[in-house]
Amino acid sequence: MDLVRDVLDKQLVDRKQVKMGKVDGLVLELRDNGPPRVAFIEIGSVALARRIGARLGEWVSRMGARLGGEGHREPYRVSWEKVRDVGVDIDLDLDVQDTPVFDWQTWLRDHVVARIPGG
Amino acid sequence: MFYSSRAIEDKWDESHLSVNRAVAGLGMTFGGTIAVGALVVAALVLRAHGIEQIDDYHQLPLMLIPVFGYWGFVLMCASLGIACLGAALEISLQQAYLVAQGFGWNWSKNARPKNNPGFSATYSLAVLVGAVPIAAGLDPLKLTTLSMALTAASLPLTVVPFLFLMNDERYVGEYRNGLIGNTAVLFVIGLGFVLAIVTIPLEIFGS
Repeated sequence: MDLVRDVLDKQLVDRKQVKMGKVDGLVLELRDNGPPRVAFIEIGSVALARRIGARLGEWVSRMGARLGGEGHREPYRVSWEKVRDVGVDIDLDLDVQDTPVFDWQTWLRDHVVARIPGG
Repeated sequence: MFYSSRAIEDKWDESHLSVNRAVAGLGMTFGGTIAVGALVVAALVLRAHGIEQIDDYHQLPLMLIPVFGYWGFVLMCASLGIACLGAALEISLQQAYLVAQGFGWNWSKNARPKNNPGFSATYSLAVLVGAVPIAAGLDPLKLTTLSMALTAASLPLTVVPFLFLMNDERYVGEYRNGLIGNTAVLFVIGLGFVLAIVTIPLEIFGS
């Protein structure tokens, strides 16, 4: 498995096959005895922005905290142990409703989309 | 993208291939015939009325008036309205597919908008943003010709990757493109690209 080719930016799905974004970042843990180990998958625009540039990452992080609360200052991390399968999609052993990943979509639904006629 | 999203959502398989070939063939033939017909009628009628250069949508109903009279005007308005509505729906949905699939959100044309808020907000926003240039007073006819030229110029970027997929047996198996198909695709995008490159400076600087 090639991390950048097969994991980074791939579609994430939860236990119920609900699409929950893409792999926006990977966190590797350096160890004294042995090769580095993949510790976390990062999800969220903060991780994406950091890959483009440190200043953009800082700005998106501040915006996340301001709009969504302190919980959105950092990207959401999923432990690599939760990864069930790496194929076309990456299957995670969790329920997206238990994560903050869809917070902004929930806000959008309640405050905007549901108020539009036909929404 | 519009088409392939439908294929994913409605779970098309190999058995849908022949139907799709027929639909694509008939649809393209129908559209092409209509386009050729419109060009021929425009050349015949407008020239007879002494119009050598079309620079306003208001001139278009003239094409149908000699045959249909007043109803030709109504017919032209109705067909423009239908064409614009169709294009607005398709393009805004296309943007939503692009964004939702790019960022890995949930998307569906069949589900209620509130079940996929990111997706439905994107196409709603696309309709509003798309209306801005016209609302700001840009000439619709100039905008149409310029955007058509830009689309044709960007064709190689969008079609060439597909050409690789259409020739990759790992994806399409026995249905991979043949020599004729590849030549036809390359010829059409080459022609479109050259015409667009010639047209864009004329559109911007006037001719």
